[in-house]
Amino acid sequence: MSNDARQRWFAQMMASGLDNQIFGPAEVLAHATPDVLAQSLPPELLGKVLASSLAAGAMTPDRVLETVTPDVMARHIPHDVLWACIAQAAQKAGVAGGKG
Amino acid sequence: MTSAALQKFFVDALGGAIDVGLATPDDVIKHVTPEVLAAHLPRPLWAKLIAACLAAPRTDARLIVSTLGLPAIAEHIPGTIVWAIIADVGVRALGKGLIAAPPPAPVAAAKAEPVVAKADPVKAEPVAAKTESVVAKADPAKAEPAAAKPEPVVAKADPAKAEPVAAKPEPVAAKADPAKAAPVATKAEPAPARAPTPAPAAPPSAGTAGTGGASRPTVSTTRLGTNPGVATVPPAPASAGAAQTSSAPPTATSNTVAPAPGGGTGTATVAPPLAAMVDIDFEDDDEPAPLEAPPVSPHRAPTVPGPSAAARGSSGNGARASSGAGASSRRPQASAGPRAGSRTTPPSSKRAAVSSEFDIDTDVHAAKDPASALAPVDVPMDDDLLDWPTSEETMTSDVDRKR
Repeated sequence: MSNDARQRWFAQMMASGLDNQIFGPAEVLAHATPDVLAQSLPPELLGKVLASSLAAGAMTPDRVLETVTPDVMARHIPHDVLWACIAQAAQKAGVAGGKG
Repeated sequence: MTSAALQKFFVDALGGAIDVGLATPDDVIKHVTPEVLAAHLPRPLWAKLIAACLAAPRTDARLIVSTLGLPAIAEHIPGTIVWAIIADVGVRALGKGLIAAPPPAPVAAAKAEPVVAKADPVKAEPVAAKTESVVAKADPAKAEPAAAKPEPVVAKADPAKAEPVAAKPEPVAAKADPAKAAPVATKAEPAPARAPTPAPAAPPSAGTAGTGGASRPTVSTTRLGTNPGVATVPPAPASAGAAQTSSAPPTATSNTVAPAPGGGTGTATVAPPLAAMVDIDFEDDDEPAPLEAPPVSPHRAPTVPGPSAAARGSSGNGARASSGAGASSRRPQASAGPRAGSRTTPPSSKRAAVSSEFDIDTDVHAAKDPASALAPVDVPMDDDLLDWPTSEETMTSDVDRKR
């Protein structure tokens, strides 16, 4: 499988997970920690995140994810981090039998 | 979150995976088996599925999934099973990405072997399982799954497991086959057994000679120590070194080696030659004697006390007897070796004159007596301040003149 396919799939899963509230922005940022973001996101994106937060007066997970969209996440954040987020949500939902 | 949301997520995740080629209908049917469908699928859907299968020329996973539809599967099949599909795909996707990353795992050969053993079963089982299910369902699907099958094999294991498994086999292949690894280990351990062989023994012998000044002392000590395990190892090399220098001694040393190691292989190999050389025992007993041998050659004692010791230290083991390089090069007399007569005759008279460095002392003493007049006995306070250039030169010159 190509990295592009995996990227698209992860973007789709992240989008679906957020849309269906399988997990929320806070849970995403619990895995995509500031350290991960700082090391994974390109400088311009980091600047955007900071700028949007400055404009709004606060940096919240929702606001961060307005900039760090599922596509961006799938493109820049390590997929194992995203997978951990998804797998934890599945565990919380009680559908993950220890897998993932 | 509601079950509907979860179902929708499942549909999105599964559908997306199939759309992008990360998953195939076979992946779905692997978990959503006919038994699972039988247990959870409602009758109307069964009717629909049977009708589709009857109408289609072939019945395969794709037909089943397309007929039922992912939403129906997500709706009727337990979430744990659907999640298992997604988890497999995810592990596979991540596993493949991680396989490339963690190659820097240079594991020991011992570890690598078990890893390989594990990997094989993993591959064999899943593959077999897949082929069964696939074959049962449909032959045409083979073409597509064929590409996907090898991947699932790796993905079978948990992500964490899959990574090491994929990474380790490489080091295993790179390092060496198990056969090669084993020999290496054996070589290291049976080193004592190898000692009898000349090649490995040579270097260690040199080392011992350097330290002890003579390898034989070390041998004797080891024997006395009688540490079966430890003592045997050092003596072996030392003995081997002696063996090289002189043909007879080696056998004796080999005898000592044989009992010490206790290792069946080493002793067995060494034993035959030893048995042939019965004299060796005698010499073994004499091994300590060789230590005395140097002093036994009294000719040297008076004439060449210093140099003889130095020669022992350098050549050690009697290497000098065979062909001492350094000593022989310095003194042609020593290189001659076996000549007994030559040594006895010249040392007293000639050596005083010939030997330059060390003999000077003796000569000086000897010269002092006759040349006592010259001796600056009156200058005890000047002992430390002796004017060496003048005094020695004068003395030596005097000696020479006398001679």
